[in-house]
Amino acid sequence: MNSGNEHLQRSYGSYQRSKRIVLLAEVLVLLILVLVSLSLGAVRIPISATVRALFAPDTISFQYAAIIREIRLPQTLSALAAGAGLAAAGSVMQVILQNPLGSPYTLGVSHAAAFGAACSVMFLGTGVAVGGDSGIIELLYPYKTMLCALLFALMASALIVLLSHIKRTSSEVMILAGVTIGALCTAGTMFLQYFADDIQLAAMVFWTFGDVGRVNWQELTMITVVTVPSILYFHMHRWSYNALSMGDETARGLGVPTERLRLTGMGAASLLTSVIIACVGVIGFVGLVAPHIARKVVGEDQRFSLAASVLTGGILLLASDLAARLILAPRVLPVAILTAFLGAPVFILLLIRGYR
Amino acid sequence: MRLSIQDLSFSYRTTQILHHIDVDCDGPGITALLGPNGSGKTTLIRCIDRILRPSSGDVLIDGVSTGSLSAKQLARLISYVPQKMQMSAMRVFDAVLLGRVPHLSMQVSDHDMYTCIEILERTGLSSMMLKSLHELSGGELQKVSIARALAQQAPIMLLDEPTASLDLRNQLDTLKLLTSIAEEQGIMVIIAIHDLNTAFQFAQRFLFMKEGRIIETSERGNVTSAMIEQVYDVPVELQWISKVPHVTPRIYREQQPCQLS
Repeated sequence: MNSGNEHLQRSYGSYQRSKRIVLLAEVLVLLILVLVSLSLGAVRIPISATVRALFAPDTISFQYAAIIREIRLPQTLSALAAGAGLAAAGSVMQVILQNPLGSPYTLGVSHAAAFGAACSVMFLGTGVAVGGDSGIIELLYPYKTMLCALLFALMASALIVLLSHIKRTSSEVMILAGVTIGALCTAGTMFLQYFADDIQLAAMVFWTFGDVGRVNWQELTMITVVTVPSILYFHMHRWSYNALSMGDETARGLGVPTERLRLTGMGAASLLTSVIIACVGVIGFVGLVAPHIARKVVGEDQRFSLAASVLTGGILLLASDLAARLILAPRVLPVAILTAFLGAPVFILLLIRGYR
Repeated sequence: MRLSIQDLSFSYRTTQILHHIDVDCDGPGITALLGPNGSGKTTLIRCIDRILRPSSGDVLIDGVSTGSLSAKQLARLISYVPQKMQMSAMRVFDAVLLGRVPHLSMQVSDHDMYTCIEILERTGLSSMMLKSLHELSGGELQKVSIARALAQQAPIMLLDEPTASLDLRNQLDTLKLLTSIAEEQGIMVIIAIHDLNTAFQFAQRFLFMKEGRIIETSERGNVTSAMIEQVYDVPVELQWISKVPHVTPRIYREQQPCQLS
């Protein structure tokens, strides 16, 4: 290899190193956020006690250990897993659909889940008033609601994939099918809300407020079991997604089975989204904004932008959850409100500044 | 390397685009696919690379049906440069590296890197290898597309009107590059092209297409004006300059200059 070639290889090597450094920085930010998220809340726990609660719970007070291990740890890990999963799904959807608007929210999967939850409240009686005079509304049978939401989200995803398969899986068909199904589900939810009594209406609205605080260890396990293999699956197909971003013809010329890639990718992204939404409720913007921020930082190459999306999604949802707990403490806001408040300005800024 | 197209037909819904095409191409060099708009050049190229599945017939490479090969195996034998590359913010090096996709397992090997670096140098793209594709001109983008196809290291290369949107300088550069690579690496290059004179200058063999059929095949030395007139329905005059045919539509020669009032 001559010196010119070595120079080119060195230049490309340092270019790749800079991307890896960005990913490493994101990992560090995420770790710091995890610690902060575990220590801050209605009760402030020192960082040292937080670390000890994780690795040596016997050395700190019982209350601190219980708060961290039973309340904050599942909530923090849920925010991390849900944010990472939604962002991974959004990143892959945007590449598969070759459209920057691709995300679980814009494709109607979230709306379908909300409709499923509303059906469960209305017809299975899962939303009731508890707590006597306090008037607190809770979902008495959260698993029934979750299952209904999951079922409807999966049905919507299957319908999008089926419709697009019939019409030869073009990205336009997938997006239009998603938007239509989303509109249909929103109309269905509004129809149910119109006939619901006060308590049912409150339960429906409560469910749509996506909130990682409602997740327990079982649900967290479920989210993780779906998120980790999905991300690995997306990572395995990173080269195919890169080829697809150059257009269908180029990708097929490179031996990438584009139709199968679209169907399996959409299937995996939809399943991932459905499970997360069923567990935590509707959380918009993370799946849309995180991949855009990631691409801005590390570029379009899916080898890096998928990992960056996953980390950015985790950071975004974790930061939003933290802000939701602190802004009006001791009152805790649903995190979905904060993701939109944080995500929308970031997205608009990206649009104004433009990105290449 | 021998490419045989046997009784190949293609229909889109009820419209038949290609009709029973039979043609053999043998050995390295440039073959030009000529014909008017809508004659089926692009469809034929896509059928050869199985981007479109033929309605009937077969394409054989050294006697092996392309239908029996996996998509990756086929991509190792045929590289394809579409008419237009979809715009992406990917870097030039990464776009060229995509040509190694049919050869990749999980990681990019040193061999993949060296191959791409050599091709970048060869195509004159090394100075812009970290530029985003958005920053490139039309000619540079076409070079990236060709460089990506070269990175596939396939013995057959198909190009769909690679010079359509290029200025004269870039047209010449692109075709010179293809000629030298076809000669040096023994690659069979098949180009769909509209400019007859450019085609005659650079290609050695010609397939004339009309209404979904190949109606003539010819070596450079045997091209006649009758062939061109039959394909394009335009009377032409053929002159030979340094053993290269040069075609001029007769209609333009006979036209009187416009009178400006």
